[in-house]
Amino acid sequence: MIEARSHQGPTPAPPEQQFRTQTGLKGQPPSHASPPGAAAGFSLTELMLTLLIAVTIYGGVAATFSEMRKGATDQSRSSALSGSIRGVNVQMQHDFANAGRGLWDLSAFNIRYNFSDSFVAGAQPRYFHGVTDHDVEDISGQSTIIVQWFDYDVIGGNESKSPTFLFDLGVGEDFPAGGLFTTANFIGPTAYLQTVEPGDIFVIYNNAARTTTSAYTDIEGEGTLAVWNHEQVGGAVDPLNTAVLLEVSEVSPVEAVGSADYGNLQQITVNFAETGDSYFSPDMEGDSISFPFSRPAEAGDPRLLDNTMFARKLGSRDDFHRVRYIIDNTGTYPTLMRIHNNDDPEVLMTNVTDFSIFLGLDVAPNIPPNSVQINHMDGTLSATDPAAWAYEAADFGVSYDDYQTLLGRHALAANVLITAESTAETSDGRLPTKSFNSRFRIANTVPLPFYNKANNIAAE
Amino acid sequence: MITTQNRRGSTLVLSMGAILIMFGLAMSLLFQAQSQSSETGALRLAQMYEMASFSAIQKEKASLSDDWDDIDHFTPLLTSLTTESEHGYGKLYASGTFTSYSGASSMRYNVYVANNSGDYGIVFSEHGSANYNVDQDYDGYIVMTAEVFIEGQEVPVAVNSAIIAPTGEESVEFAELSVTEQNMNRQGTGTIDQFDRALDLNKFSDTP
Repeated sequence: MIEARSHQGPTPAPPEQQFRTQTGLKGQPPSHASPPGAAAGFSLTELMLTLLIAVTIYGGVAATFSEMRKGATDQSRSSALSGSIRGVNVQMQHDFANAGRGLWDLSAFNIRYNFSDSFVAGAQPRYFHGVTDHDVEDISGQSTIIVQWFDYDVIGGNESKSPTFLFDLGVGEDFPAGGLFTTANFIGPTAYLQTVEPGDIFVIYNNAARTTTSAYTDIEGEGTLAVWNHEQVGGAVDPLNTAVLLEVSEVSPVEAVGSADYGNLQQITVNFAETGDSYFSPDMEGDSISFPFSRPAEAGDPRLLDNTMFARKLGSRDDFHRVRYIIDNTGTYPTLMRIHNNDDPEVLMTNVTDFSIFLGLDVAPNIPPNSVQINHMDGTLSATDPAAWAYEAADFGVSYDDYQTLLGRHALAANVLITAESTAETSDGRLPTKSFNSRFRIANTVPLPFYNKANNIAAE
Repeated sequence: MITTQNRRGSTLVLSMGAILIMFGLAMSLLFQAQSQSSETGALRLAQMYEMASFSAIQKEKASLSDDWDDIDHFTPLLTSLTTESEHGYGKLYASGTFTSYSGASSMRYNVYVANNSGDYGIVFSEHGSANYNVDQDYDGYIVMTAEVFIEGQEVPVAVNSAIIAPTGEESVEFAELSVTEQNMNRQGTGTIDQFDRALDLNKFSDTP
């Protein structure tokens, strides 16, 4: 206790100051070394103890969050697999839905084509189909498939971006016996003719063959022909070339046709020649269209223009898409690749352990494509329950080439099974595995006509 | 007094530091999950709109068989319609509305019909002869185009077309105007997730 002392001399210090000056160890004179105003802070012991407690607490918290992070990372790897699978799902859905676009109504035709070597080198199938080359790849043992289409403007009417013209080889001309197409005239409205450019790709076909021949009748029973059995379209014992894909290399200015038969229609002259950028070669290598050409002319009722050839603009090179799905085993992990045209391969998923594609068709196996008749089809088209599923050509009991033709005409759905493993282990040493089994609709191509139009016309 | 305030201050600093560390660790998990969720949602909306447009085509094509003529095909239909699309889709055939997600989302659609570009009526349309005009359907094919709008909006969220023609075969599946996440991904075995973008598959009766 501090006692105030009365004394002579200087004014005594205030009580706080007296307290400080008297601080010190017992028995020792008060220390005068402490600076005035110094705080009484933590001692070293208190600090060390606090640090120890803090490290222990933070260590526990960090360990907890570390476990949470591991769990989140494992979940993230699993989600990444699911995300990859979802991406593949969306991509395949888009590709299969577009397969054959631009040629959907011409599937009965045997469309002859030849890729230029700069685009696809080597031997190719003879006929063009939206879904093709469905097979089991030798190296990987997994499925592979090619899907191809044109960004064809389906919207019709008189403002179509994909017009159709009359195809004219000129007076006295016929389809080239040697299969090399060099030049032709396109006849049509001026505004549409002016849109034709080098690089545009056309399909040349006989329009009447698919609509007016008396071979197609809506009669139930044995032996009723289908449109693809008709020789003008794709039938007979040996397949006939009944259409052809050509790529334009040069275009002349629009000019008059020079014949009253065509009224106000104009024409352009186009050349077909392979360039360094070409996708399609005009050389059918000894093949050509397998029936004679007749120069188109007005004959009163246009439904009787049996020999008229049409040139349908499918698009330019930029509008053509050829996509292959294949497993690449050359790297560390089997990788699902999507190869579009001549672009660099796109990696879709890695460490794919199973990639199987089954295609559903609306006809039964063991029937060659040109022998399929109406009675071979059950009258219903179902993508969820097709007539038969095929993993490869052997499943259908036909040759590989015939199998591709059957796919082009009758494939309704693709059933895809993908199984993939994560390449990184989870915290407990597992490899997450995801698989999906998805069914995609392929644009159905059952062709017209089903009515005996010639008889109907005659009955008028 | 001063000593107590110092201890309070240092405790406050340590507490704030601890809370900050834990908050940062927690947020690092939250951000990752949120960004993945947004990306997935946008993709699903786009797919749903595409499905809706084909669903509209599938619904309206079912009534096309009433407009088929064995001689003139779809010519009477094309010549009887009067409202032209301002975007060149053809003539207005039908309009309608439908909902998804139990009424949470409301959409409307317009379906147009037009002659296919490979028809004689189109190819010869500028010939000058009275035999040829754009509404003459010689080959039996027409094109249906559907544009889908979110209710209250004027810009379509999806526009798609399909070639339509009679084939004599019957389509087992057809889409109702129900667009859910399940059929959007074409999963499952339901009958409401199939479309026909190429030829129509309605079965027509035999000509008597």
